[in-house]
Amino acid sequence: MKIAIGSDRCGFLYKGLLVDHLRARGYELVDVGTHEEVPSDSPYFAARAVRLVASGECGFGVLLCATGTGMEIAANIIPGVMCCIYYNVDVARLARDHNDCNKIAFGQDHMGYSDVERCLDAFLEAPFGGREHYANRVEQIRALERGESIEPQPARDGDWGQELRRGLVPVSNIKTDWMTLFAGRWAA
Amino acid sequence: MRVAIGSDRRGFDYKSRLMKHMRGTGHDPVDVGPYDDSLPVDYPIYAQRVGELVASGECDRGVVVCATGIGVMIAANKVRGVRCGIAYTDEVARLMREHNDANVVAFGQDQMAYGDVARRLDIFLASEFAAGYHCSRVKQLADMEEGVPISQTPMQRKF
Repeated sequence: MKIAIGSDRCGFLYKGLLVDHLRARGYELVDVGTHEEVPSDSPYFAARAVRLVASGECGFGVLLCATGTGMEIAANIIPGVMCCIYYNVDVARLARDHNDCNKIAFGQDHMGYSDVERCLDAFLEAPFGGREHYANRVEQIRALERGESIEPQPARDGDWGQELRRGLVPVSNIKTDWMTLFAGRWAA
Repeated sequence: MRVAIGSDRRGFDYKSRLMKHMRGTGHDPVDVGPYDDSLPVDYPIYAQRVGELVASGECDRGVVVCATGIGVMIAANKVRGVRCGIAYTDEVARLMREHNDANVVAFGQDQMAYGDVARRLDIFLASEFAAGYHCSRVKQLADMEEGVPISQTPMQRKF
């Protein structure tokens, strides 16, 4: 799998380290820059990396700046991109499982390097959960990109809706017990 | 300051508490929902409502909350004119205002303690955009939304 990686000056150090780390793990990399440690515009390098992912040339993208925020905002502007920002390993995994993220941003000034490396591995290895309600929400984000208005879908076929129809859950229990019944199955 | 606030079911508790907190600090929160946490809801709906209130100028800033902050942050950023970041440290809450001119902040209820979230929200609301050389980058973000190609600004000196 090919991975696009980009940073501004403030993420340059970690980018170099991650390039070596990912190559050692057998990933093919496209380093879009910056290639020298001079002041550089984060949106420019975010856009370069992101286009490779949006076009399908690369499977994932990795972005670095001082906080990760500038990169993440710029990346998410591009249609087709779901860019998360890492702040713990759970989040990196959930961003794949629930949100089908294809980009991850790191902040060199605010994250330890070993954490970043561990989290990136978790991110690249986690699959998209693919459950229906998660996929619906990703579709809604696609609609937002097209500038369409999205509306709540009250009667949607979710896990619990199907179980209700099958009579597996007594209707009288819904109000009192459903939180416990479906805790862990329904992630918002 | 008028602040739009929205969440999904897994950010509902913090949303309610942050609204009370903002009223106490002299802000005017606008709650876009959801209004009860008994049913699962789709986070993009509420992130879009917050994003549109901020982008249209009806609200000055926005706050979105979900379990991790990731889903609402991505969805809010898809609204034209919104710059949304996750405040995962106090420093980042300040820098996203100063450097990125972020107008919406995202929090993760399952991953952040409430005390941290309330403090970072105060920092976010109190910080201002530093302008200077950050202006060209914020302009690039607006250009990207319009589909205008952007290029690296020529730098005169090393910072």
